[in-house]
Amino acid sequence: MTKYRTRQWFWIAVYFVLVFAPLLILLFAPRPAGRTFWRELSVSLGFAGLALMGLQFIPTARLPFLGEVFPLDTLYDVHHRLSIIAFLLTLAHPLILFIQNPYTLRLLNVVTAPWRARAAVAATVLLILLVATSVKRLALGLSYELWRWLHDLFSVGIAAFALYHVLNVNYYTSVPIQRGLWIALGLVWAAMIVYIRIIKPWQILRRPYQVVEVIKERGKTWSLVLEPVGHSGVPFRAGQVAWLSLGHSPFRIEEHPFSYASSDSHPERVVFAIKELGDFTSAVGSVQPGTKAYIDGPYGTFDLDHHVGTDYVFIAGGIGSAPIMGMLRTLADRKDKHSLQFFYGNPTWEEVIFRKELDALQTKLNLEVIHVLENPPQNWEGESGYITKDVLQRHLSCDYRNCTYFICGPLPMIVSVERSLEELAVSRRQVHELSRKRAFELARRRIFSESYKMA
Amino acid sequence: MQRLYARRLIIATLALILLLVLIFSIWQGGLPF
Repeated sequence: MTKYRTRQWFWIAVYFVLVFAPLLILLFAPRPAGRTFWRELSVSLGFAGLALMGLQFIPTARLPFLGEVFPLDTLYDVHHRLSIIAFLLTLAHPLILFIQNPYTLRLLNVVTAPWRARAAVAATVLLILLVATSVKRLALGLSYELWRWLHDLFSVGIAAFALYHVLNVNYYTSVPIQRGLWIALGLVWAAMIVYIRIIKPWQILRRPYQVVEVIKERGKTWSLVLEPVGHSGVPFRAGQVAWLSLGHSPFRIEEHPFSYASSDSHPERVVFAIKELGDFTSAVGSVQPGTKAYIDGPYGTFDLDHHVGTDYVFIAGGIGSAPIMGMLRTLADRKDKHSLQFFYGNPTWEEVIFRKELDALQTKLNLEVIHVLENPPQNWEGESGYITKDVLQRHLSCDYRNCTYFICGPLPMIVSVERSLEELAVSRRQVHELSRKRAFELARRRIFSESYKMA
Repeated sequence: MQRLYARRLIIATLALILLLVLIFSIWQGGLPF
């Protein structure tokens, strides 16, 4: 059970107010005369779609008060899914209008159409581009950095053109409260962009770090050790996530999310474990000590203090061990006496990241590490294959239903492990996951083309 | 766990939007058929 439940509910209530305020005002405030059902349906879908779309500036603005109470990967997942819904609702707005009254198709002629219609066309074109570049980024060959620039550009353009359209059609927005609401919503959206692109980078710039060590680990992974410059380090909780900018100003949109892999008892020495995955991460081994770095974080709730338990079970695949290592290192620093189990899945024995350190941690902590290898070496006596229900059942302690679970890895692994835990009657409330979404996104094509079998 | 809550939030959002939009459209424009 999270300690932050009340604050979560508060922000969910704020979310519902922001999404539904335009519709509630449509329903309950004085309004102009009604028109046909289909026209009203089209207009109200447009209102709902735009309110939902504008709201998408918020979960990705990395607001500290949201980042503290909601898991970061969930915020981004919700942003992604709600954006698709907002896209469909918004698209239904002109489509219904055109079907109901084909004469309105003339509004698509940007030469003769009034400015309010031109703005709507511009917003719709940008919206289609935004969704296409987000959903098909890899297929379009867009780098992460270029995509983020385009995403910002398209988002701001859509918001500006759509607001211009809404305010200048001036039918329902002729009602002062509705007009005032849309202006206020527009200001909130603009504030989010100003915050994430100007205020936040400026704050980060004032807390620089530098790379002091680049350590080669197993499995094409590097540990990047950073120390603060001119300050004592920003406190974090092991397992949380931060955006890392290496060698350039945080004002440049070239930052990447990673989990803290070091003990949170030492904010003056921060470690990120980074696996080479074929993009920015491929060059991490060539980063030189002394390189300037900036950390935007911490974010997320995937940490021991958010989910206080009696005994812990950690389950990770590959580089999903990074936040788990942060937690184990923290527990070792705290001289923790809890019973701990770590189910660690890897392709081969050679690729088991932090293998030696895990052996050492087993002597310091009340920790049992269960290695599960997809391709075990000859004479391997441990578990092989994937982290299945059978594997869990063979090793979990007798009191496993009262343990707190942390799972980190690619999404198929998380889904599979969660299903297994459910079959073992572990309450969902005790299971916390961090999806290696970005890693998963990069690896997805390869995984499915190789007929990856979910455990 | 969190993904489950997120899914519920998204479904609730969509369901409520469609409900309010339908109520408003019928209220203002009458039944479609």
